Amino acid sequence: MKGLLIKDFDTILKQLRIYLVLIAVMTFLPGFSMLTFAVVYVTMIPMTAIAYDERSKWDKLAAMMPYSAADVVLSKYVLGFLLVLGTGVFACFAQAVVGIFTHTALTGTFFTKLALVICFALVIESIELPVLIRFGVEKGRLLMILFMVLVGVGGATLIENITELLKSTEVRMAVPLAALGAAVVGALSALASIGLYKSKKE
Amino acid sequence: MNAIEIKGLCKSYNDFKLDNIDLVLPSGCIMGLVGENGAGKSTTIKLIMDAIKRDAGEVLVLGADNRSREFLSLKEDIGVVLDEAYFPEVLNARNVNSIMKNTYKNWNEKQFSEFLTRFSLPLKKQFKDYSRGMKMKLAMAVALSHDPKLLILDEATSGLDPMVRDEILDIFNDFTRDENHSVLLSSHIVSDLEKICDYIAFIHRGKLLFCKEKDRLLEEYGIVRMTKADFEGVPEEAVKGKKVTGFGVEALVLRDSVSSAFTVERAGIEDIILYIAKGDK
Repeated sequence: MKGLLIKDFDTILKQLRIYLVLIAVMTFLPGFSMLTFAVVYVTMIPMTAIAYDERSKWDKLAAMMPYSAADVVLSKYVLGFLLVLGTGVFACFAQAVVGIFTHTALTGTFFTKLALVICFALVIESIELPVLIRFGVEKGRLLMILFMVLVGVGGATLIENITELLKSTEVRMAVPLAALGAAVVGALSALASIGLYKSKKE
Repeated sequence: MNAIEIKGLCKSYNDFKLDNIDLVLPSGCIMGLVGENGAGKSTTIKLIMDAIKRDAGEVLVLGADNRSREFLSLKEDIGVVLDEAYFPEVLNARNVNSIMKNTYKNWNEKQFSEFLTRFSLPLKKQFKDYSRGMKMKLAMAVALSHDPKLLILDEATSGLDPMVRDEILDIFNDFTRDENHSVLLSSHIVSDLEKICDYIAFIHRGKLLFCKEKDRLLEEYGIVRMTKADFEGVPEEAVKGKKVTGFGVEALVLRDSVSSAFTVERAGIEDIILYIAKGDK
C-alpha cells in the first residue's frame, strides 16, 4: 500500500500546492471557524487523487500489480485520514505560533474542540469515499455537492453550539465518544467501499 | 511447467462473447496473440490477470490458479503492459521509480534507470507531455525492472517507431533466453509477431481459431494461385480460405492435402490469418 500512498501524495503535491498553502494559511487565522473549515476542506483532496486515477485508468494498471482491491481502497482512506490528522496537528502548531504573538496559550477547550472537528472530518471522509468509489468523481461530485451543503449547515451548527456543549460535564465524554463513532463509521465505510470496488469488476 | 494454461475460458458481455478459449504458453516461449479490434485479445489478457470476472473456465498462471490467494503474490513475477492504462499524468519517471520501489519487492532501480537511458526517456518530464510511444516505453521499462518471469503485453509495440519496436523485440528475445521466462504479446503488427514468436494464437470474434507453433503453421499452410478450372481439382478440405478474382483463384491451402502438381508458395502468418478470418470471401 505504501507505493499507492506515495503515488497519491506525489500527485497531490504536484497538483494542489496552492490548495495546500491555502489550507495552511487558514489554520493561522484567528478564530476557530476558519480552522474548522481548513480541516473539513482537506477532506476533498482524496477526490482529486481519485479523479487523476480515473483519468489515467490507473485502477486497470493497479489490478495487474500485487495490490488487492482492499489495498487500493484502503489507501484512499489512509490518505484522507492522514491529511485530516496532519492538518489538525499543523493547526496546533499554527495556533501556538499565533499565540506567541498574541500572548495566548492553547487551552484544553481548544484541543477538545479540535479533536471533535477532526472526528467530524473523518466521518465526512467516510461518507464521501464510498460515493466516489461507487459512482466515480464525475457522478459522485453532484452527490458530494449536496452532501457538502448538509455538512456546511451541520458544521456551522456544531461550531455555534460546541462551546455550550462542552460546558456540560456529561459532554466531556464527547471526544472519546466522537473518536469511537468516527472509528466505527470509518470501519463500516471502508468495508462498504471494498465491497463496492469489487462489485465494479466487470 | 507452463507459464499460462487456459481451459474453456468464457466471458460474455451484451454484445460480445469470448467463447471457450483453450491456450497453453510453455515456459521459455513467446506467444503472439493476434486478432482484429474487438476480437477478445484484451479481454483474454484481463481474464488471465483476473482483472475481470470470468463466466467459466480455468486459468493457471505460473502454476497457480489466478483466483487463488497465492496469485496476488505471484503478480510480483508478472510484468504487464496495457494498451490504455498509465500512471497519473502529473507524475514523472522519477516518481514512478519511488512508487514501484514500494510496490515490487524485486524492484531493480539500476535496471529501471538503464532502461530509461536506453529508451531516451527523461526523468523529470510529466507524463502528460509524453507521446504514446514514450508512455509505452516507460510501461515496458517498469514491466522489465522487477525481475519478472512472465511478461504480458497488450498492444505494447503499436505506436512505436520501427527502430524502437525492433529494439523491444530484441529485449523480448533476450528475456526468453532464460527458460523460465515467457512472453504473451498481443499485437496488430503481425510482422513483429512473425519475427519473434514461437507460438501464434489467433482469436477471431471471440473464438480461438488456432494456437500453434509458428514454424508448424508456416510448414502446414501455403498459397496457391491458379485458374478457376484448375482450382476445381483442389480438394475442398485442403482449402482454408480463398479469394476469387477475374484472373483466377488465390487460396490458402494445407500443403499436405494438395497434389504436388500444383505450385504451393510460402504463406506468411499474415496471409494465414487473413485467409482464415475471411474464409471464402
